Formats: sequence, structure tokens, C-alpha cells
Amino acid sequence: MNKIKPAEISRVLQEQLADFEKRIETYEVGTVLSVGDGIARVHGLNAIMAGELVEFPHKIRGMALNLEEDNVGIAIFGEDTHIREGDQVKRTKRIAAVPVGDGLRGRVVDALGQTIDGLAPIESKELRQIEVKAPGIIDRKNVHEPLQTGIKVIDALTPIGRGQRELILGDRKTGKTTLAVDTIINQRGEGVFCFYVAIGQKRSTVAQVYETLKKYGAMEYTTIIAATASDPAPMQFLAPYSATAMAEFYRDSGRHALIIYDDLTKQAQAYRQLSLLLRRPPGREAFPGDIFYLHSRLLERAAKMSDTKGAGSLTALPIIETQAGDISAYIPTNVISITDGQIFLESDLFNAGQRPAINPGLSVSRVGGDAQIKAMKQTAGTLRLDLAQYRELEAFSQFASDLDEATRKQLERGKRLMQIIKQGVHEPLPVVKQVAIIYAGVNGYLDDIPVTQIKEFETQLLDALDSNYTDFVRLFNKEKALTQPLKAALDQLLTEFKARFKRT
Amino acid sequence: MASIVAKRYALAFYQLAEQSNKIDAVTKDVKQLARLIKESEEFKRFIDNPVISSIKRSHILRDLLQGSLDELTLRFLIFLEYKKRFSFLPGICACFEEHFLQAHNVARVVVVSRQKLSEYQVKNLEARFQQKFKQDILLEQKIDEKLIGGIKLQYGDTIYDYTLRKHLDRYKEAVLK
Repeated sequence: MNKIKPAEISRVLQEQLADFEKRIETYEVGTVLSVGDGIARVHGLNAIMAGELVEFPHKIRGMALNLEEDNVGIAIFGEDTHIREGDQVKRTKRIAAVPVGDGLRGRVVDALGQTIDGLAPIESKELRQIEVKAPGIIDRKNVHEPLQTGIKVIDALTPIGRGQRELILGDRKTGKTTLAVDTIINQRGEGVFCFYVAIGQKRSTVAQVYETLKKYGAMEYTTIIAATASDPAPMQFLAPYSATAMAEFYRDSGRHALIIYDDLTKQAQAYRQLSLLLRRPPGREAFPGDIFYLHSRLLERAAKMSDTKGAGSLTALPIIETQAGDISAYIPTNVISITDGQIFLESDLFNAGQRPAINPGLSVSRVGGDAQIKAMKQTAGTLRLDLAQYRELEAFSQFASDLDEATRKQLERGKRLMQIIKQGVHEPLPVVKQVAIIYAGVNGYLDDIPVTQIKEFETQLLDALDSNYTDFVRLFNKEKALTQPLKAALDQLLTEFKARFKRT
Repeated sequence: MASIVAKRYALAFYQLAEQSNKIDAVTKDVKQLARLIKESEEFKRFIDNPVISSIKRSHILRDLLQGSLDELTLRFLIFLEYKKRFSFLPGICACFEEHFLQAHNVARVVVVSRQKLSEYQVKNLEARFQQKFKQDILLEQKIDEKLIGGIKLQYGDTIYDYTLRKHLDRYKEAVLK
């Protein structure tokens, strides 16, 4: 190690402080009138802007939310117990902003972009405002590229396109977070940068997600923004916006980003707390009047940009937790109407072992159809219909014992399809495997295999695709559509494989 | 900051004083009252003591302040008591003074320093501010030992900081960076 030279040190210090002249510092201040519940009312600060950051003593930050005639309502990002009446509040003359850039990859940060993973602070050249307007109409393009989630039933029935907003909703413990995490894991090597926003969750849960993502190598392209249950409400309210600002960096530089808000119910609750403490009038379920705008302005920022704007995209997967399956509550209906479709998870299905517990009847994707690859479109076309018919028949087949041949066949087919759309945790599948197994199910290749053996058949088929049939996989990935020769190859492959499977 | 009640009463009182051409006398009274509240703990307790009845308080006021205050001020005080707003008196005094300063285009500047400034320094400062802000200046002095040296001025919401403390803080930040 080099010896420390005192002369060297003083020279560096002198250089650094050369421009440190003695000048008068001017700043604008106000005084705290009252403080409590994370809100401070401040007198003064005459020229303050809405959304401006302010500084309390002890370097505590705050954001001006309510500008009233003779006082300003400020949300405090920190411990309000350190702030006393009469304290001085300084303007920073900056609208709330967060650092953005590639330096954030693999990091865990809070709602203000400060690291909370115990590693070095983020070095970033660029700051972006947290609240910006969504891209205009001319700057956009329709959603047309697929964002593969790796989950069979989603990619087949409710496909998601890059730039889409697809809501994931369901009761507690129905696998919402798992679905989101699987989607992140499946983006490996796809050039999609992922952002996972944890709002109002337990710290242990966030740590778990972090560990999972790390285990599957997904942290390389993922940033976690955490405003946990113990963080003040203003942080929980702000986290989705700052995360979106970080993700927009990729969208605007012609790259692709995926953002997951887990979950927006908690954000709405944090915002309700904030609004009530700021004495804004409460409305339905005590939420403030602008609760719809809170979510709509956030989700509008997800977009597919036009070619002139670099053709980047930001896909948003907001998560909403329902109470006892009630999707007609206030927040769920709001977000359903904002997004381009929803994936509805049911606890009944979950408990019956149908996992992922997606209800194919209530789940839709309004724009994803254009983004689906052709081969999947050709295969999954009849899947939805078959499943719907199965669900209808299933209910009344329990009463009638003797069914006609056609109905019985339909039921048997349905049972096998329900087996096919089951999928393990953290096992996203590439699209070729998805197409192969769904094709087999829809075209009756599985009808004479007992339901109990379907899982086994699937596992072996997927293995075989990796070993024996790599030629087919290569051809498929080139074509991306079931052309006549490819279809013939798939038919032949399945017949051959089934014969072998039956022998064992 | 004073409450909305204090503001309303202060404005009404100020306008009344203006109409009856007693503004100077009344302003002097208000200043006297403000000083009384600040200096006499007993008077402060008397203001918002709920045990003293309304009639009794009016009598005490008359006995105590008759002669030393203008008739209009005294009437205002008794009116306040009658309206059960007497506890707002400190706020009303503060607002009244603000109105007076505003009407006479006088700016309040607070000077915070480590030691009491000499008369020469105060005069100099006043002259400079008058030039800078194009307003008459009411200089208020405060002492704060934490500043170490230099002065800090507050004009409205803006603070002009030229203290050693601030320089040291900034120095510390620059070095840490």
C-alpha cells in the first residue's frame, strides 16, 4: 500500500476547496406550525411549488402536497418525532426526483432512490422527476411484440404485449406475487429490464423475493424498489411513481422495461391515510376524490413508443388484492377499467390444486392478441372455447350419470386440458414447449392417456424436446408460426413420442 | 402565525383606528400591550384564566389600564371580553403590528448574530437594506451563540446566511464529497 503523504492530502483538499469562496447563502424558509402522523403544516414558504422537496432539521426530507392560503401541508419522508413546532423548513427548489440509469440494476432502493441493500450508494449522472406526464398519442404505437411470461395459461389465453398494462388480481395467498416473479425470471436474455415495486409489504417477503430472483440469476437485470409496511405512508405512496421514473429511462432510450407494482391496494391505502391527514374530503370507502387519477396517471406511463421515439416499451403488471373474491370493490373496479386486461386468480381453484389458479373465464387481455406469436395463436384458438365448454358441462355432469358420447368426450378433453395448464412454481417455459404441449392437448393426442399420467407425459415430452427433437425446436424458433411442414413435423413428433410413452 | 380570528379582529380594529384618526395613539397602545404580555407573567395568566368571570375581567381591565390607554383601545378590549375572544389578544396584537408595518411600507428584518451589534453597525445595516429593498426597515436583533461569527438576516421568507456556522457546514459537506 502506498504511504499517505500529508502534503498530497492538503494539495487535493486545496484544489477541491478552491472554488469554495465565502459567499452569502440565500434560502427560503418556513416554520413548522404543527406536526403529527407524518404530516407537517408549515407557515411561510411563500413561493413553494406543488410537489417540491423541502428539508427539515436533521436532514429529514419532505414533499409539499397541499398549498393553502396561509399554510403548506407537507408529507414527511422520515421520523416525524424529530421535528418540533417552530422548526425551520428549508426550500430546495427541486421537484422530487430520483436517480436513474444502468447503475440501478441489481440493487434494492427506497422510494427516493437511496440504496437500502447496504452496498455503495448509486452513482448516476441523471436525475428524473418522479411525476411526469405520460407520453402523448403521436409518440405511441400499438402493442405488437409479445412479452413472454413463461406461464402456459397466460401466454395462451391472456397474452401480454410489450407496452401493455395487465392487472393481476386475486385474494391473498393465490399466487399473485409468484406469477409476477416468474415473469421476471422468464425475461432472462430477452433484453427486458425489470422493476419490482414492493409497497406496504413485510420486509421478510421482500427479502424472499430478492433471494428468489438472485437464485434464478434474475437480479442481474432487476431493480427492487421497496417501501415496506414500516416505512412512512408518503414513501409508500411515492414508490410506484419513482420506480416508474426509473423504468422510463429504459423506455425512452429505446429499450424494454417491465414494472410490477405489488400491490396498488396498499398504495391506495397509504394515499388515503395521507389525504385524510391533510384533511382532504373523503369519498367512497373514505378514499379521496382523486384516487382514480392516482392510478390512471401512473399506469398511463406504461407505453409502447413509436419508431421515431426509439420504439422502447414499458410494460406494467399492477397487482391488486381483493377481499373474498370481490372484484366489484372500489379499487379493483378502478384499476380494471384503467388496465388493458386482467388475470384473475381464485382461491377455490388454488385450493383445488389448480395452480396457477387463473380463472380463464374472467381473465382477458384486450390488446395482447396482436402481440401473440402466430404459432401460439393458431394453437390456443380452440383452447379457450374447450375450457369454457368444459366448465359449463362440469357443473351439470355431476347430476346426470349417463351422458351421451359427445358430452363425455368433451368432459374428458376438458379434464386433460385443465391438467395441461397447471404449472409449477418458478418454472417458466419457452414458447416452443408451451405450443407443443397445448397442441397435443387441443388436438386430442392426450385423450387416451389417463388423467393421472398427463403430468408425467408433459415432463417427458418437455425433456424430449430438449434432447431428441432439437431440430424441431430450431425450426420452430425460426418460423414462429405453424406452417404446413412444421405442423406435419409436430404431428409426427407427437405420434412417435406417444407410442414410446405408452410402451413404458 | 395567528389564527383566523385574530386576523379578523386585528383588521377591524386597525380600520376603526384609522377611521377615527387615532392610529398613532392606538398603535402605541398595542405595542405597550404586546410588551406587557411578553414581560408580565401575571398579565398573561390573567388573559386566559377561565376562573375570572367576564364582568370581573372588564372591571379589572378598566381599573388597570384606564388612563394609560386610549379610550378606543380600552373599549376594544372590553368588547373582546364581551365576545369571549380575550384569549386571542396576543395574536391580535401581532397582526395589528403587521398591518401597521404594511400600511407604512416598513419591512421587518431579523438580524441574528453572535454578539449584540453596535449602534453604528445597526445604522449601517438599516441604510443598506433601505437601499436594497426600497422600504423602510424595522430591525429586530436576536442573539444566537451557535452561529460562532458573522450574521444571518431574515427578510420575509428569505434568509441571507453569512455566518461562520454555515461556512463550516458547507466546508464539511464539500470535504465529505
